[in-house]
Amino acid sequence: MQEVMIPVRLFFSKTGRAKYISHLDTMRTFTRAFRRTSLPLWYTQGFNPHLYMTFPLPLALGVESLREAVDFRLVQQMDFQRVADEMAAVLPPGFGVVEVAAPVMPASAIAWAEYEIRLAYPEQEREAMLFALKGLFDKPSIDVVKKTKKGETLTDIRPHAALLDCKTDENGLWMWVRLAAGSTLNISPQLLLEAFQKNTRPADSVKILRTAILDAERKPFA
Amino acid sequence: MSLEARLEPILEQVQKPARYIGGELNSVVKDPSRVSVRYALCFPDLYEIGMSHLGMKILYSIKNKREDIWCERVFAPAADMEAKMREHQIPLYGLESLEPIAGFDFIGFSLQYELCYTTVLNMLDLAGLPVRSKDRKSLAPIVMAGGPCACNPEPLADFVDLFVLGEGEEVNLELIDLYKQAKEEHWSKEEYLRRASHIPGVYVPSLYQVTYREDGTVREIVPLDGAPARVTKRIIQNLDRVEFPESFVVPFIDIVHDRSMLEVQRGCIRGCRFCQAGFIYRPIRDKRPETLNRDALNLSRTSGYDEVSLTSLSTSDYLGLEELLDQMLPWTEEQQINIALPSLRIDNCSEKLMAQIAKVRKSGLTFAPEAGTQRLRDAINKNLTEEEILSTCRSAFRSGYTAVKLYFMIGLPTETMEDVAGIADLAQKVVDTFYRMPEKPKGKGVQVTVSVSCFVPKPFTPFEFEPQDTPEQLREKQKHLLAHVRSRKISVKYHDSDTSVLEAVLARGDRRLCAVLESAWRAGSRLDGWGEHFSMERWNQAFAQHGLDPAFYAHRRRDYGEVVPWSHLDYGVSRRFLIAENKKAWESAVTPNCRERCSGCGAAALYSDGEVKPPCKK
Repeated sequence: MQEVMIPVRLFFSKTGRAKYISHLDTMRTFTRAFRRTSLPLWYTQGFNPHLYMTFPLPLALGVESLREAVDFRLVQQMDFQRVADEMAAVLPPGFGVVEVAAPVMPASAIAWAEYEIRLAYPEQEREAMLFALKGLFDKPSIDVVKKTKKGETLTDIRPHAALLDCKTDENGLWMWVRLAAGSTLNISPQLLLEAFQKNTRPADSVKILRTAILDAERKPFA
Repeated sequence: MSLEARLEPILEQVQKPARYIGGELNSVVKDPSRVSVRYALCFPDLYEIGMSHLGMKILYSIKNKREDIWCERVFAPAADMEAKMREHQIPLYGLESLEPIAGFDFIGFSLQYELCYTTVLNMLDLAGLPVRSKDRKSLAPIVMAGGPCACNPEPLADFVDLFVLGEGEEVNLELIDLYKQAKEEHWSKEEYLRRASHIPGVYVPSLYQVTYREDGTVREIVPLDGAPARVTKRIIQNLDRVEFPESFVVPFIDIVHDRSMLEVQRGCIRGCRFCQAGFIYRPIRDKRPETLNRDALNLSRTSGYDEVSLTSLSTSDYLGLEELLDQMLPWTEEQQINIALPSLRIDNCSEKLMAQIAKVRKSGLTFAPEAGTQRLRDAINKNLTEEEILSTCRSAFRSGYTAVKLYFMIGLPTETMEDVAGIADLAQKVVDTFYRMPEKPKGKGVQVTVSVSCFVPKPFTPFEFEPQDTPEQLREKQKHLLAHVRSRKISVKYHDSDTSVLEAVLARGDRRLCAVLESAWRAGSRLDGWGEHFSMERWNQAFAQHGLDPAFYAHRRRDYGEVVPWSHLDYGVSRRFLIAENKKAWESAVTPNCRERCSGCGAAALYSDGEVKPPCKK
């Protein structure tokens, strides 16, 4: 029997080439990274013990993020700065340690996520695209086909999406959006883009960056 | 625009993009302005296969340890990625720098199986290079290849500038050093290759002229320009002291063998007559348990892997195994690391070892009797009795196993229909053994999987003279076997006979096949080892186009005196020994293993003078 079990939440960034690493592969990456440290980690106590580790809000393949979270446990109290340093030393390029802290909110508190999205278009098309984007959010509803395990359902994502800002510059069309997130209702940025690109031509390239994970009060997930 | 930026929109549209971006832990990134040699280490198959190969890891590490060399990994793109690369004119690139390999100094291929040959051509083409050696005029890049298939590399002779025969740890660096001199002194490619041909173990095919007889067999192989008449393979004299990686590149995606790997020994004492590896990797050499334990610690620490595999051709023949396990068990258990023991023989698997493997994998146990009757097992020199097979199964069942997988071959030389039926009989005896055991696991049935592959005769084995069964004969034998299986506890799995024929053609092929290979590739053949890409029809058209008959290569018996396409290559084991072993096979006579008695195969001559180590004798 282990006496103490200290829950720890590590916030990390996943940028650059690391965006091509799927959620499943990210979990494997973290397991191995943890094993390369000397941290006193908590293993599950079953017949086949394994490292306890959960990701409160998985990140989709192709999306970068400034602040993701992973929860794990220590069996011995230790300085969180040391945990951060040890992890920073063993994570592969593209993964950065942002902060290590005691979890404040349960994973179920997650309600929103904010994204910065850049769509590349030729210069002459950008203003029309900006207009189309504003038009999309002016409509009372945005219906999209959402694929779930049970099949396809038509969902109105308008109540679950907010356009915070948008602009064009020499790189294309930029938008900052807040979308419902969490285990009960999750609107992916790809789903929003699908709705947007239903009636417009697809962008030359797409860059998506998750900038924040928020609770129902829009306070940063902590 | 950089290649990385051009890749971005493409990677969003392909399966498993992490195959194509590099950036894995322990991958080596250097400053290109501070190295003098760029080396593209290519594996002509998908990332998941190539990243599982220990030889790649060893050569990657040895080259990158040198400050003046930057060695990068290159794998074949899957079909979806290849289409995108061709559409967007993205050339094949190194995973570390994301720079085109056409600009590198060396492009080196690992040849692990014959069905990868079209992929070699495809990768050269994707790199933007002419596939034929003579069409690449400049010194760089030098296209080289090594690995087991280099023992008869003739079907690739027109495409590859030089082959490395045998073990690559030392000769690779010698070739690179010679190249540095070539660059400094502005040699032509011909000059470099001519000089390289004098490095032991280096075979430059363009320096040999091959002539043929009317019947299609080789008349003569003549060395040109002072090249040596025979090229002898290289071995590492002291395996215990050879460089071994301190770290592996740890992939993000799941690969076939995703774990630390040690090589406990090289070579094999057994001499199973069908097994090419058993002959071309001779003589047997091993590492000390202390060395292996140190390497295992290093790899576990630097990778974070939770499994370490003790590999070799026959790990239970490694004399230091129990001592090694004693050294490894304390720390592996503490760190929750599994020790995997593949390649164990049935006859010398101790109870202690059984208990060890049982801890790792409870699900199933795999054994390779190879043949169904004692007569045929003797003919192939498998040296395994039925009682040994059954008693091992008994102790496996006792330690809790309920599934056994048995590997067999059909089409072996001297095989009769009784031998084929014997496979079903043996599997049945394994089933019966389970039900007769009073202590069998309660409430569970037994599952015996019989996996049957088609025998492919390979060069440098006693069966190199033998015809391969035709697909019709093989299908007949498959039917015969199925008819003899009576229990539902036995399931039978087959391998495709068409790919086996192609494998047989390429394994013992000559230079005339280069044209066939190129035509098959131009018609769309690549990744032939993958069922969804393979088309025998495409290959048959290519053979017809060049007036060659695959049956000549696959299904023809060779005289002991025939000049074979690999006659000028020397792997230590003498032709006289192979002929003697072939005769013994036809008498169903066995040959003792190297530790029981040295049979004088000739491999001892590969040791430098006075260095011959047991069990070899001078």
